[in-house]
Amino acid sequence: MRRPAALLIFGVGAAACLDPQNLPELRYGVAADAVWRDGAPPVDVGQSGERRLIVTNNLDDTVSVISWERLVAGGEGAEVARFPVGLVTLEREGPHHVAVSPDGRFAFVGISNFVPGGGSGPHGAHGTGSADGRALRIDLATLRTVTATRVDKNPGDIRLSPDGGVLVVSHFDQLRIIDAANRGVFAGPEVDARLALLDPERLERRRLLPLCPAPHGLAFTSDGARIVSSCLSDEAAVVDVGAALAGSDSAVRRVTLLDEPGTAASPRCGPYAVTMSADDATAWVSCYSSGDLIAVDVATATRGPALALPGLAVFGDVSDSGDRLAITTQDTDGVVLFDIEAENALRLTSFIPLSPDVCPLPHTALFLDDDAHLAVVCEGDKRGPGRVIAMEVGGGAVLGGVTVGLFPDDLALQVVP
Amino acid sequence: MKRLRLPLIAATLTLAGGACQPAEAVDVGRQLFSDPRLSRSEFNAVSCATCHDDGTSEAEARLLPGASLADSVFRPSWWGGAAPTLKDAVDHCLVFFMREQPLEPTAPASRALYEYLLSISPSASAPAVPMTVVENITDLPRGDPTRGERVYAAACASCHGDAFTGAGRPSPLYSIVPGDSEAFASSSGFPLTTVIVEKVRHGAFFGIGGTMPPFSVESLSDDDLGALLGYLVPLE
Repeated sequence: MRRPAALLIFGVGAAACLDPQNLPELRYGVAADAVWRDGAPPVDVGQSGERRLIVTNNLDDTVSVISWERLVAGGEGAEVARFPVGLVTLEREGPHHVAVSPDGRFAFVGISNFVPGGGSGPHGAHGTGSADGRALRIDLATLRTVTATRVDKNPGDIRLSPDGGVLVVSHFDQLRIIDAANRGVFAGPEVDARLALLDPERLERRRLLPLCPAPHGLAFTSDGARIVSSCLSDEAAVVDVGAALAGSDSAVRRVTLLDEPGTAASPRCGPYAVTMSADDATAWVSCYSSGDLIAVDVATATRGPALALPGLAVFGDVSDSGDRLAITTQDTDGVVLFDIEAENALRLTSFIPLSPDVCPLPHTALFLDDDAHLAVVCEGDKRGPGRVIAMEVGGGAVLGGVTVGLFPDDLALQVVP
Repeated sequence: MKRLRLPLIAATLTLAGGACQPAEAVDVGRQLFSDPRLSRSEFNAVSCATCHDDGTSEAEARLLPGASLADSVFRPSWWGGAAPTLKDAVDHCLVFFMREQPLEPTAPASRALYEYLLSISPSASAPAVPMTVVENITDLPRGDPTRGERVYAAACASCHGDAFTGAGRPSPLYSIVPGDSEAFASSSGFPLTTVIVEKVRHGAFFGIGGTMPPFSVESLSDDDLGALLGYLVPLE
């Protein structure tokens, strides 16, 4: 009994002097560089030059990483990672749209805090878009968020300038429109949401620029000097980036898209997405309400011709060659392909329908492989898992598909550094 | 040997009463596991052991919101997949429930806690523990009050003390159940039972605030929760 008694006394003494913030000298069994090793699978960072698609999954707060090569080859094992994002562990925060830095090292994701059905109770439904949004900077080598910054409510699109020097976030803030309408205000500063212009390195807010009602789709010109934004008030806005960053009050020119436009609360076109021509002269605004595609002359900030699409117009892409335009459509699900002719006139070449079992609710498309293929994000039923597919541009054959997280909405290409 | 015993004990007491002696990290980690002072916040009164068992038998009678930490290190993910690394999982607990900052990876307390978790994780790999969060709240039928009293003792009393009075709770900051929820139920117009279900299922999350951990479906069944309602909000 002697030794236990002595040990007991020593043990009491050790416990008594245990101050978690000022511990005694410890004898470690695990080296400092080996602590917190765990059973998490190592991050598959890919091979240098490998092409990957980064996809935001709105409804389950994850981001998928898709191997393009495997997707084109049929899709088996194409989702190489799916990782959680967000700042509050269990909240549904709605990662919404994604951009990737030109060097392929970082992804930028908007946190919309708008997730219908993502949590309810007496304290109120979470995800009504009443909380400020966030922009996240994610290290694609570790799949960890390294920087976050607050932006306005309901981030919409998030885009990087082609040189990677400016990150912009639009705010599809319909709550602001509703609140103003309830006060009898249908236009003006009380309705206009802001465009956040951020420093991509530190995510510092360089300017929160009043823009227009519920801006959503954004497209940079190739020199990064201008941005064209959709505005829910049946308008587009052309932003002079240099003037905006210099604090100018005249950095925004707005363009009315219809002869008889609706209002932000009741749009007729419902501007939703923007695609920029290769020569930066024309931006095509997709109308989600009417299904029209309306050209905007970027230099003069004036409206050009409009085309009616087979479905409701969503996001799209211009081919690397600059002579083809692909726009995804919903309601009548598919991809519309145009030839881009002189002065950016569009000639419809084909409509590739997509069946619900292959690609329900296509939302955006991206040309790849010297414009031979398209990657398409399919939202699904906006409650369950969505898909990403690879398809041929010529003929429209679907080469492969993969199921991703709940309600995916955007993709960006990463070329692994 | 008899003559030596007293000086030995005296020497031991002297050592114990003076500066702390070097100690094994794993032993200190075991103590930190049950020490609320792992958090520097004056508003914290809970430790890891408040919500997690470490595989020892005394925890078996409790209904804990957190998964067992036995064999926790070599799981592939934590928090139902919401925490991609073990340290993320620990940091989430510190930040959301203990009002502390994330651990410095190589700080002594951090290393000691890791070594203790490692010591209770003998398996080279272990499955992830499911954690199903009830996001959208619906009311539940009230169950057997006697069973509910047992559920309260096993799941709630360690933080909230005795039901209806709060006697014995570790901090006056922790609410008296169900009294402190009645005012909110009254002002919000929701039934008290719904408020309790929401608080139990969402804890500090989904816009509620506070520091209570949520009880997932796996940690507390709807039947047990219904019984709890029967005990706390008896039918008139």
